[in-house]
Amino acid sequence: MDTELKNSINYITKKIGENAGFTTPTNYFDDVETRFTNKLVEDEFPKKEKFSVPNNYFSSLEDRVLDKISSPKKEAKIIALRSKIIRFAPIAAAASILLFIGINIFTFNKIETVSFESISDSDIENWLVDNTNSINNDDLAFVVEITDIENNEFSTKSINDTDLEEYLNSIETTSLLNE
Amino acid sequence: MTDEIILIEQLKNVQTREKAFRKLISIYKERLYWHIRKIVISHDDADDVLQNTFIKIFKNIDKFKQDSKLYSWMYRIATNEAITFINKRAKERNIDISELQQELVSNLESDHWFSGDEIQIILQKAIATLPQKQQLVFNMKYFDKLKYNQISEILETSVGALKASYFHAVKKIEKYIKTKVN
Repeated sequence: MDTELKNSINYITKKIGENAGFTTPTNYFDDVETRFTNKLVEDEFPKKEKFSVPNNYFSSLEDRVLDKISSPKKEAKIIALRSKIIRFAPIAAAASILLFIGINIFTFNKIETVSFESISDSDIENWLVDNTNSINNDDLAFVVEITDIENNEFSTKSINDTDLEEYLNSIETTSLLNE
Repeated sequence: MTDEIILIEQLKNVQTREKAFRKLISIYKERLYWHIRKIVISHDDADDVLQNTFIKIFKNIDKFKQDSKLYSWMYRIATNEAITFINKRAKERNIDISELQQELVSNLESDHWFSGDEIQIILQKAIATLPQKQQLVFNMKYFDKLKYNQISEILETSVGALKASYFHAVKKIEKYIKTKVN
């Protein structure tokens, strides 16, 4: 009986070898311990993060995203308001420059006179953009003799909160926070 | 796979783009949302970042070269948008990003859109103490149940490095939880 078994085993070994034919992924055994440790530890962690969302949040998302993509013209309304405000500014800039020149005439003997006419509009506007912080509201109010600003001086359509928020998010707001 | 190829063709074709994009949003919105939410914590911020992510996907779909899966590409955009968002927030407040994230998490107790109890908050606090990469790997592996090769495609990091990251993350979280609970 033993001999018979032995012979059978020999036969199988000869034909097939001792390899069962199973394989493992590369480096499988290198991190068995790590995976085991992770599993043990993870089992102690809470399973869910428990964040939640408002009702209908997901069901309305497609419409909201597609709306944003298909209406770039909403940005133009905000730009219109900004450009209306900037239109008043050259008057203030002009006044500031004249004041500066006026003061300097008294303090210096030799001056290179700069006539106001030689300063181009684009120079004034560029100075304005670079120096928005140095124009204070009192100067502007002093120069711009308008006591009532009509509503139609600004954009005729009111700007909704979403557009305003979008605009604010698109600009650097740190300076606003510091004011 | 074939479905994905068809969807990509429809997205690149101006005639079918909008309809295909609507379908894309509906398939992927929840997965992308939850991934973003875990990074930015607040629902409102997650909503902003998610919408910006989809807009970016829409504007750049022609540049998608199909050298990775569509989902990996979108997930990567979502990750970058979320991280850029919190980096910007931290910079505006003049604090580092770790401080910001810990602050966000400590406000969770009073957050209307958080229904967890103390242990969930402790877990979120633990995650917030990790370096950014470890946070991402942990969230993607533990909560999103992504496979390492999927995470590798998204984060463009080797599987070996990811496994090491995950191991370190898990050990640190365990240590943190133990010190808070005992």
